[in-house]
Amino acid sequence: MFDLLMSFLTNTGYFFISQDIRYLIMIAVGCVFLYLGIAKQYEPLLLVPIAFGIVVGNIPFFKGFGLGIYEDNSVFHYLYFGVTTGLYPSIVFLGLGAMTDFSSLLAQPKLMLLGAAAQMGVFFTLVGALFLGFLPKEAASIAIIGGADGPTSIFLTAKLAPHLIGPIAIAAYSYMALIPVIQPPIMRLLTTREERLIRMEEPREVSRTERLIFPILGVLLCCLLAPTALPLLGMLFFGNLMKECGVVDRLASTARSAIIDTATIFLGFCVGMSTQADVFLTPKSLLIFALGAVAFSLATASGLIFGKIMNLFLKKKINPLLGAAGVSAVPGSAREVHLMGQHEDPTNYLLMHAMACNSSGVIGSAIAAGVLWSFNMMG
Amino acid sequence: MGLDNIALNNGWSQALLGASIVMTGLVILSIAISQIHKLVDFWEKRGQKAEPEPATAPAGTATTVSGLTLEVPDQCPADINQVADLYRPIVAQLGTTFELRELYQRAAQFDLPHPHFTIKCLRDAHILIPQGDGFFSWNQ
Repeated sequence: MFDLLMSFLTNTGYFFISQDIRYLIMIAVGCVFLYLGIAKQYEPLLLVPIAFGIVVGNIPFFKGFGLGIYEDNSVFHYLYFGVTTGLYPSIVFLGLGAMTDFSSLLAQPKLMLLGAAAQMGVFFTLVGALFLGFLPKEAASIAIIGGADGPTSIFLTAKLAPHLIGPIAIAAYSYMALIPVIQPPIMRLLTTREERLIRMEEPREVSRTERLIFPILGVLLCCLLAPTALPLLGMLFFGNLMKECGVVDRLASTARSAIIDTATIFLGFCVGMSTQADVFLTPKSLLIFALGAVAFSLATASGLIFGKIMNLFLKKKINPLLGAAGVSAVPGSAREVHLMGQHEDPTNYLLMHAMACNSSGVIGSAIAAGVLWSFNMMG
Repeated sequence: MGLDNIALNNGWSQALLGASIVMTGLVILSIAISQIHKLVDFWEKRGQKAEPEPATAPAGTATTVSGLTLEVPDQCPADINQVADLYRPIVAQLGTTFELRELYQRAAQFDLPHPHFTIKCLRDAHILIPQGDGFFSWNQ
């Protein structure tokens, strides 16, 4: 009986934690994230599932029981299948399309260039990651953090470097939650007060026909150029078409509520679980976090600088702050741009214009992911 | 590691080409979407030209929505003041400030002809005045 008791005790989580303190560290990280999500309400819809996933994923167990996310035939492994195949990110994009109003973008197509410019951060970081010795597929997966789009980062990493999903996803979502900390100093540094005070002209009214044509035109133009972006952009534009066509309201409504919520729950939870201490707490993860911060900052700076360059050629100047919303962190970066504009002039409303840049950033980062994927498949 | 690793893995080419492809893709898309409204306007005007001009203005149809009855003409009146007369009762129901979306929806419920174009004309004529934050008021 004593042997049986000892055998049981050596199979408990307490025993394994006493053997490897890293699990305890990760559980503490999960608890901190839970606190930030619940008490501080930092991106709670993302942070709460991820944080609880971190706690659950770091309860150590006897390997071979078929329990962990990395063990074949475990329940969590099946749930993780949606992450490693890119299924959940595609579903999230479907819901995102069904809830996005592209009117402000259609009214001001030139703002789309800011969404493209912000993707330059992705490619700067690609070079940086290669410089630091990462393999090409790993470098591409790290670089896409600069797109500031969680599902896109997870999608590309699942395709190119699945062993890095944990750190990359955590980095991507962390920086999205940290937008109010990261972006404002860069915005202030790269713009003058006069530039921040620029008012945007009222966008024109966009007809339903235009909104209806856009997803069809968008999927054709973007996906013919970069077919590897199909799983993301195909779903994004399909969701948007359902929203705009007006004849499948029931489907659109489900896509933007129950479907995206379900995918977000499983995506967040599985990403959290994938941070199992023995595979997550490595020097490589720290390097990924550092490069992720660089990628996000460079993306923000690229958008801002491109906004200033555009003003050299435009008769009617645009507010260069909008460039910071070119990263696709919807709607956090748009909100931050709006708040910065209002800080300088409380009657200056930039939100609608920033959302245009934000939505083009979503399209831009998906194209960037598709391009990086195809480069690495061809190589 | 270092610059050699970038060169060895085509890092410079990937970055340059990748950035160019993303920029090209979104430039093409932005040019395309900047033309959509012109094509739509062209298509709608083409449809108008195909219809024969009536000798006299048609009497229109009486339409009732939410207790409000309007005499809805089959075509937009040429005079902007007549258009304003048509929209005034709807605006009165919407309150002092309203969003154009609401006005458009109400106009569509009444089946008023070419509501988008008409609302644009009312804005151009400064009958609809922007109040900021997407809200408008009536200037008559």
